[in-house]
Amino acid sequence: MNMMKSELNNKITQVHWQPLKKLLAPEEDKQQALIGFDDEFIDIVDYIIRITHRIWEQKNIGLCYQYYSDICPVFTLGGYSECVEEVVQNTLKTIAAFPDRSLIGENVIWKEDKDNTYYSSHLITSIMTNTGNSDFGLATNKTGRVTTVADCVCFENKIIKEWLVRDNSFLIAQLGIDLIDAAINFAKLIPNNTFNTWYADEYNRVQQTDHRLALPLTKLNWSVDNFVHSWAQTIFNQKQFSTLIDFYHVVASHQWPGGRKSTGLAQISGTLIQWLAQCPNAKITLDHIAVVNVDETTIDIALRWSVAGTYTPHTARLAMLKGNRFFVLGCTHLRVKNQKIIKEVTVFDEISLYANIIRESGMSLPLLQEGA
Amino acid sequence: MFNKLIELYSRGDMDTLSSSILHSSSWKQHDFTAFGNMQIEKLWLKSLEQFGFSTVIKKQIVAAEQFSTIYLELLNEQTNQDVALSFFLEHNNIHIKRIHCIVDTVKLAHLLNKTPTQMIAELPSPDPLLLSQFDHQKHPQSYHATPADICNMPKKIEHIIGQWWSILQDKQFTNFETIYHKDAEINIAGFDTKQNYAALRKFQLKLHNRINRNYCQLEQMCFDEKQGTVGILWHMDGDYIESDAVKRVRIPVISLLRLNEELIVEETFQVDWLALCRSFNLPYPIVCTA
Repeated sequence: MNMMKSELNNKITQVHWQPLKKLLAPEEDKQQALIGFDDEFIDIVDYIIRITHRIWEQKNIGLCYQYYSDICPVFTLGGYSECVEEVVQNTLKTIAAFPDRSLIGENVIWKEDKDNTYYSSHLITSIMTNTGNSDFGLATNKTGRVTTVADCVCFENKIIKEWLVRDNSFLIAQLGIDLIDAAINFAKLIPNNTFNTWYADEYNRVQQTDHRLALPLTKLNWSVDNFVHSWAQTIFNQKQFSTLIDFYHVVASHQWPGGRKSTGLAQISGTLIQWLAQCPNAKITLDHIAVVNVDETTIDIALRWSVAGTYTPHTARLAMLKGNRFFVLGCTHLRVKNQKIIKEVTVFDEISLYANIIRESGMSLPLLQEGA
Repeated sequence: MFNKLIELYSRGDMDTLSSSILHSSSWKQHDFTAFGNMQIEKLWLKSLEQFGFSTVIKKQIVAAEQFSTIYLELLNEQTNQDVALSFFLEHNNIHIKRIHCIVDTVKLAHLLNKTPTQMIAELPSPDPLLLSQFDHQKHPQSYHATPADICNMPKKIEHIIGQWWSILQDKQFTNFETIYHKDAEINIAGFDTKQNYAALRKFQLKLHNRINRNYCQLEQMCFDEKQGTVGILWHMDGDYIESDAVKRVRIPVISLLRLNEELIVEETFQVDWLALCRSFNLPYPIVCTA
């Protein structure tokens, strides 16, 4: 697993309070070496923000050829793609179905590695109107909002690897599409062999986690690395919810997929208990950690993680899927102030989560309109 | 920043307020969150159509770093009806990152001469909200946020606000007598006339009894020493039970308190009742005013 970069640099672009106009025309001097990148980019955040704007908001889809390597593995819970041609085609299809899609960059958390690669975790809010047919079904002509995290490895001006997660269940709730119906439809899409191998390998890897190992967090051993590993181990692997106070501020805000919004310890505890109860033997691994500082007391942490276990349905419509493999690829952005989380945004694709379970079961489930 | 908001509603000045809005700013109103200029301007246009170009007849502010609150009463001189709005802002004195606007939609319905049902139908679709059940009890070793956890205030003010929060979270109703001035002026959204604290106490009792297993959660606070005002963004989660059916609901509230000589002399309790009805498909009224 990659470790975080210990040296923190607060001269790198911070998105939070910046007007878009300034983000698109930075006047600061170059802050990072960015070997092999175009000279115009002053740091990795600038690179990510500006290429995203050019490709998506200016609709220069062909720029993917410039900013993605020819072979670029893209991992999502819904499928795997490998070459830039697929990136271009998928981007075009999405823009056609959602022509006014805007990508609002909320944050970019990054890490510089010794091999001149940069890891960026880009938190995006998109507003888009579904005027065309899409993987979700026929056009709904409704406008929706969705949170996405794109984790990218960038090297010499190109994205060479990507993990993409989107809160699709929140989006379809606004479009008036039922979550289980969407999952049944997604389950009919047959993923390629690389996806199937990755899915099986990842499931097995996460299952081997030693979930009983105690990773206590104290004031004396506090570091970002210890903090996030203790957070994952204590809350997700060991389900010790009274320890939330060790990790979260008492009014921490907590956004999880599908419209789960909580504030404070009691509500966060409820959200996690209800979610984990559908996979009570869930184990989590942290697969990447990046951290940047915001100010003297505040840091932002980006986590990419995986959860694996056995599905125990709470929904009557999925009751027959009990015992199937439950696997999630997720990303979390944490804002930590004075060593406590004050804001968490966690993103994963619930539609693909259930679609994969349905597909693996080999069962044919009825849609709502079919009498489910 | 406050003036820019006032100019929007009194003169329709969208440009000036737009200059304080970022590409990544959000504006929550009627439990719908608009992101970015396109969606935010659409909300403004609707508000201007409904109650724009009106006169400010009352303004109460809590000006502070990072978070601020403003309460406005706007009079439509043609109909002689007013509407009340509360705003809770996250800002850096240049830009607004996040704004939560709560409109008294019951008053707005009166202003527009609409029934609550008609008004509810006109509100935007609310954000999807998936509320999880949780343990709402205050166990001996569990910790629940108090005002002192999130806002720096002088000790005497902190004590009063702590007692104020204890009424809501601990249902400690004796505190009314110790922290409110006997002539305190109370504005509760949905009520036509100014109330006193006895009416607020009665209202809160009805609310607690209506929303079962309820839990009050602080979100953010701000304190303005100069004005003697405090703004609190908070919400109540609980079960709304009707005909044995249980609906988990969340009621967002902005409270604005004004203190004088260590007593609360004025309070606004701002809730968008009709947005709440729309969000959870509830009948109006949720709490009877009588």
